[in-house]
Amino acid sequence: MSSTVLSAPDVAPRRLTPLLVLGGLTMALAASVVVGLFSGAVSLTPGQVGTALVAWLSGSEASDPMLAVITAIRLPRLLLAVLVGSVLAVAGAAMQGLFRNPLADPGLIGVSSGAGLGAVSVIVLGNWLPFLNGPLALPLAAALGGLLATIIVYRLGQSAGATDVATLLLAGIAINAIAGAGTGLLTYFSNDSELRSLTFWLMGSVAGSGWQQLLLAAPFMLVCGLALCLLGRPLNAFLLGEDVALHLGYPVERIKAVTVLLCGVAVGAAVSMTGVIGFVGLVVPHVVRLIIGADHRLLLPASALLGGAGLVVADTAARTLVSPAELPIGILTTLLGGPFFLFLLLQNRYRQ
Amino acid sequence: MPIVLMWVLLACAWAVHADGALDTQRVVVAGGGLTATLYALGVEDHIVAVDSSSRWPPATAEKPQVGYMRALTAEGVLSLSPTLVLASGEAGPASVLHLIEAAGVPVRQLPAPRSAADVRTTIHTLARLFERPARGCELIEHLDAALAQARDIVAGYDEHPRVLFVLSADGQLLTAGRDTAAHAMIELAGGRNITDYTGYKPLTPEAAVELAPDVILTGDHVIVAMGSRQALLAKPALALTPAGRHGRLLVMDSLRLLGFGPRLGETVARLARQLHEQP
Repeated sequence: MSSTVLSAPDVAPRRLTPLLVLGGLTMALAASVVVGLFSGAVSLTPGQVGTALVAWLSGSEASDPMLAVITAIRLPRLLLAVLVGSVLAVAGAAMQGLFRNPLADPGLIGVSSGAGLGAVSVIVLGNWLPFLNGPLALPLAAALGGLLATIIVYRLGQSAGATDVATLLLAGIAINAIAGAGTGLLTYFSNDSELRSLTFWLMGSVAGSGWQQLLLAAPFMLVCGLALCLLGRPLNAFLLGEDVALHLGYPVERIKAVTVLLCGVAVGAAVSMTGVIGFVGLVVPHVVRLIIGADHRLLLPASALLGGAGLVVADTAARTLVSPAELPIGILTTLLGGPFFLFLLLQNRYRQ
Repeated sequence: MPIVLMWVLLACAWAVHADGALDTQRVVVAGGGLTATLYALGVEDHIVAVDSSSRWPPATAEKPQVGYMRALTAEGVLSLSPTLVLASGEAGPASVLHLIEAAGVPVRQLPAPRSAADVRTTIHTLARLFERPARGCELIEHLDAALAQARDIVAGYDEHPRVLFVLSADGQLLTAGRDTAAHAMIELAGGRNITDYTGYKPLTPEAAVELAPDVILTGDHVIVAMGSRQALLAKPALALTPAGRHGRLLVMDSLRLLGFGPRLGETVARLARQLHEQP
């Protein structure tokens, strides 16, 4: 483990003040949302976008269906991208801190693959089991799968009232493999149209959401995301080791349970809306850490802001690059984030 | 003398190559369109097993199953001791088909039909293979009559409704571009497919609004998965289109709509009539 990636907060003092960092990232997020609001398959002038927003805010129906595109399609989609990006990134940062492992991300404890299995079950088995149908069946099954996987992994990681982080990690890997095999088995039984559908679902997309779905999942993501942002102090103590954290007076076991559950619920809700979007949870926290250091009080909210902005940018690219078709967003997050992350990593090595 | 011998050999080779030499007593069929055609020809007694895409006519349910046509297994097929395997061009995997042939069972693959001419060819080929030329001619005449009727319906209207075909709506919309069975059906029935990419791809929701389809066409499997017609039309991408506002959603049996089997003529005529109904 490189000392820069997970150094204790005081070891690497930075010149950037917290206010500057959070202010700058908030501006970046706002800018990405504005750009996203003005771009799309339907080309609208800034004036039209303004008219649509004003009409919507004042509660009147937009007369022109082209203006309704802004409020019925673009706005809920942007908000979903902000929420999902933030939640994935902050959960990734919290997991890396909790496990003191730079490779940890929400996918590691089985949330993503559990949710994936839930969703694929609905897509494939819906043909035979009528109760698995309906517009909310897929998100509910995905959220349930994610939560279930999290609980199983967490229970497996517990022995004699204490959580063994190494066992937790290994249990996560095993649950991932089992859920992956279940998904594979269902893939085997699927027909062509189901196969196409589930392949695209597993690559992720924020396209499916209107207000109804957004309002369903948003409370879970908002509450858990904000709660995760408040875990800065205890996670800083964890960086020094669990024993030290315990001696400093932190309720170590409760913090572990709360963090894992918050991540499970938040990411489960996110994945249920968008499918599996990889990379954000892993890389965004590292990028933030390379810029501002490992103080979780700043790292957690900064990761949330950068994750939200990043996913909005990726989604804007996904829906405009090959319009009227659409690219799976998971491909873009990796294509945009991967090289950038490598660049930061190499630069950091030169500096040493 | 050697020249005569060569001619005899060539003639034999030709006879083996021609369909007449194939034994059609016990046939395994992999492909819904092929199965439907064999039933229409009245030779279903020769079928010993079908694949899971063969669901028409309903009587196919009584035949033993060899699984999905893209995932055939050599041993499963051979265990039925067929004298011939009839497979769609989409069936496979190719290695399994080779294995079956290597075991001494001839495999005859027919290209998956994408046009009326292809359906005619399939009927013609199978009618010759099973020695039912008269029934084959009847089927083709029937198909042509229904297609002509469909053309008359289409010719009677001067506008061509803009159609969006939805293959699935789990999360995002997967819609049909060019080079798809759905595209071919829409054009045959006098509609215009509004997406211009190739294959089935996710359509970005805003583009669905901008492309402004007059009619949304989908298979019944999508309605089953969504729970109701309303649930599909409530998707913001579709609700804002002219089709969504007027509730112009056409639902058809997926197999019938995309199968390109012997029922093609009636299907096109029915679709043409429904496409041009006034909202």
